[in-house]
Amino acid sequence: MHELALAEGILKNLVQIASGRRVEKLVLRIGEFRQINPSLLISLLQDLSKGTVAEGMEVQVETVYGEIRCLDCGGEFSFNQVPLTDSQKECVHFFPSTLRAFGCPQCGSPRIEIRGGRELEIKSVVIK
Amino acid sequence: MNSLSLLAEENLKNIKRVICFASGKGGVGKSVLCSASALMLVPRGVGLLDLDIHGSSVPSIFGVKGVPREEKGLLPFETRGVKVFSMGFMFDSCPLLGSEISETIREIFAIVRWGKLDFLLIDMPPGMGEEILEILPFRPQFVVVTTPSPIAWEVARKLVHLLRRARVQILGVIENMCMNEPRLHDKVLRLGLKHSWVRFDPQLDESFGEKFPPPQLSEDVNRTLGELGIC
Repeated sequence: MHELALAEGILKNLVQIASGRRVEKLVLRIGEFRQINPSLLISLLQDLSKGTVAEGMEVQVETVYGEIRCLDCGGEFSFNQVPLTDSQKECVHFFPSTLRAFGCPQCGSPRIEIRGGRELEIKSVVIK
Repeated sequence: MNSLSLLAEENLKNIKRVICFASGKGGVGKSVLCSASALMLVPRGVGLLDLDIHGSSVPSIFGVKGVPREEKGLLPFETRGVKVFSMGFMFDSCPLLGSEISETIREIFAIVRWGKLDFLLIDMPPGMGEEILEILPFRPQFVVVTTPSPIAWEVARKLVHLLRRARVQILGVIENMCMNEPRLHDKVLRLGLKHSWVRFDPQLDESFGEKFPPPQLSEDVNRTLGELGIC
């Protein structure tokens, strides 16, 4: 369950940012290639934050959609249009940049440009 | 610090020593020496991280095809007492741009859970780019590997200068694939570094898998680990 590890990392980061002050709201930007389950991540963050300055905070997850453009055939694709097996999806879940390994869905060229889709960022924090 | 860096810090906090085997030049035997060293250091807690994303060879040296298990991140594959992680377990080939290599290395450190280790040995790729720069924040020690060839040594010497500029501790230089005797002893000492050497082992290629490392290489690597103060 990758979400649990990410939730722990995000919470540590958040507690550092808050430096003792109470956190009311957290907004995350997460790339779609990461295939993170937003409601699971939110629920884990809320569970893990019990007893910390972030207990009871509101959490929002914004999904950042990515795009794949082939530099050879010019095709443009969304993540859903890349035919991946379950194990390939799992690789990309852990290491989003490795989406490049599967090449252009149309012509197979490895010369693809990947825009967005890999983010894992704290977009904003509201501190009381 | 971002969330991934904090996870990486957490994953590495129970590792006593992180030692990178690097050369600058390819084909000098980093992966072989790093893998043999890992096996020599068992039964102490040893992890082996193959950071050569474009040309991983640790899975072939050990003769294993492991699939890392998912458990709050990824657990390294365990073989012969060594915890091993390699992108070679997951991909046949994965062409990545420089920034993507950096990102993937940060992800590896953030999600691979090593647990308690006495040593994490890292098989570095050739070159002096992203991989070296990404690893520096983890304050590793370095072993520089070269062959007796003046061309390999010239690149290894440049790596030594780079590592010194980064104020990284260099444990020493291993001169690998020596035919009869080492040639670089005096040159390495003039740089103020420890020198050790390993003989060319004609049985190496036949040993990959269960028979690795062959007896001569085992003997030399054992001596080398002592000479460089690793054990």
